[in-house]
Amino acid sequence: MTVGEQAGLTRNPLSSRTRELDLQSTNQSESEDFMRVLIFSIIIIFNFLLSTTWLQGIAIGGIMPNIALIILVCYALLRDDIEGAIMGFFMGLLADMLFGNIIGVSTLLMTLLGYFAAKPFREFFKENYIAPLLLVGASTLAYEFLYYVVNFLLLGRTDFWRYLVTIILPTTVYNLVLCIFIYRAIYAINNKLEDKYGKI
Amino acid sequence: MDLIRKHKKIFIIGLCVLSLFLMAFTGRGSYTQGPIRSSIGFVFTSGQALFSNIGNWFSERIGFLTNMNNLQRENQELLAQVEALQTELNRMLHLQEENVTLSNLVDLHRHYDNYGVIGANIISHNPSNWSNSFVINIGQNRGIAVDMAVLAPGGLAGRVSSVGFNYAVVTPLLEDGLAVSGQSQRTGDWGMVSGDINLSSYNLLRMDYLDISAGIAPGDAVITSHMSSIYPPGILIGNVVEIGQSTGNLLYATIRPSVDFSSLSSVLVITDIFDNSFGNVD
Repeated sequence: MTVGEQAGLTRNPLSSRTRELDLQSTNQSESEDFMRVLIFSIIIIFNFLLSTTWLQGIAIGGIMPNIALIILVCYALLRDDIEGAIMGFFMGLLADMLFGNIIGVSTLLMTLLGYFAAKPFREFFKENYIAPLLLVGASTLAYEFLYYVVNFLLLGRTDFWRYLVTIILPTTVYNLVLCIFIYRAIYAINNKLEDKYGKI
Repeated sequence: MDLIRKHKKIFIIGLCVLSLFLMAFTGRGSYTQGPIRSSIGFVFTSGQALFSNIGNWFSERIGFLTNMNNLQRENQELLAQVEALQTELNRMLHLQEENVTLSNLVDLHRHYDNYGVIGANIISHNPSNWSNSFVINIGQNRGIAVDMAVLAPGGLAGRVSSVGFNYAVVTPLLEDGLAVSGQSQRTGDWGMVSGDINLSSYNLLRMDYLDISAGIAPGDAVITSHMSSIYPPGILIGNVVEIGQSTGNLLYATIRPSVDFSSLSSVLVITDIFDNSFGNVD
């Protein structure tokens, strides 16, 4: 036997192996999707329930952090635009269903946020905190600004500066602080899932 | 999932179109939550009620333990207060007789006791920073409808803005954009009371369009007026903090609401719907 054969390499190392992997991946991708959907649905639901009840206590000066936004952006950062968009869609829909007058405003904004949040940092070192911090900061500013435009500006409340200082900036700061912890958690969960099922 | 990835652009546009469609479909103004929304709401508000109850259970226990040290001292203080209050009470009884006579002179009846009311608990608050709305644990099943007035200890708290099967969403008074037609109790001056972003951080309301000749003064109580098409008249909104002059020949007043919005846990919903013909209620 040649050294190669002893080591287990066949003549065409790629062909049979890829066929094996192909079969594996179709079976695995369904269970991966299911686990992913399950775990993150639970996260979304618990986040909604908690941020409307217990987490109201963490409001500083009447400002609540937008935890759903942080989770969404961190997730979109680690995965891709489609999954970010889907997650955003359901997060927005949930908030709109209960607390919205016209359903669809938050839905649309969160969907677009999830989609565009995945764009900027495609290739980056995922253990670094700079990317999520920057992204959460920019996303919060953008999202809250657009929310203001749709719900307030178009209804005649033009006191933008006051809204910026009283609501938008404090929310951004609070979000940045929480981003670190939440990103860690999402990163760990995502790693576990990707180790088991493989990356995108 | 891979199928979706192959047609990314279409999928994203599809989601956006769906959202716009939802907006168009629900934007036609009916705030009663339909069956789909209500059933989803049913599930989540039940979860919220569960969490709230657990939270309340813990905070009551913890509150009791931390307060035990203070209870003795409080007891002594309270005994002293009771004595002082007895004297005050006698004085008040005299004033009350006077008040009854004067109330009959003013064309403003207090009908609180005649309104049908239902008590409710607050089970969750809006997580968004742009709105302070909250969800209460009764809905259409107990006869709640949109635009019913909501009271809390102290006075007017807000109105029902959306109702589902077993829950309702209440928009509080401090909300930016919500306006109540108010009247000074002592002088009868009319104005519009509303929340204001500049003031809501200080938990104050603003009363606009007061006539320049109004005799309203700091300390006056402001109540809902006859001209409100939603709120029953005569409900206490708050007390005037200061008066100022705004554009034109108008005054404005800053009002401190009589309800403590930061510690709301139970509310009363007035189940009689009022329109401009409230005058027939007596």
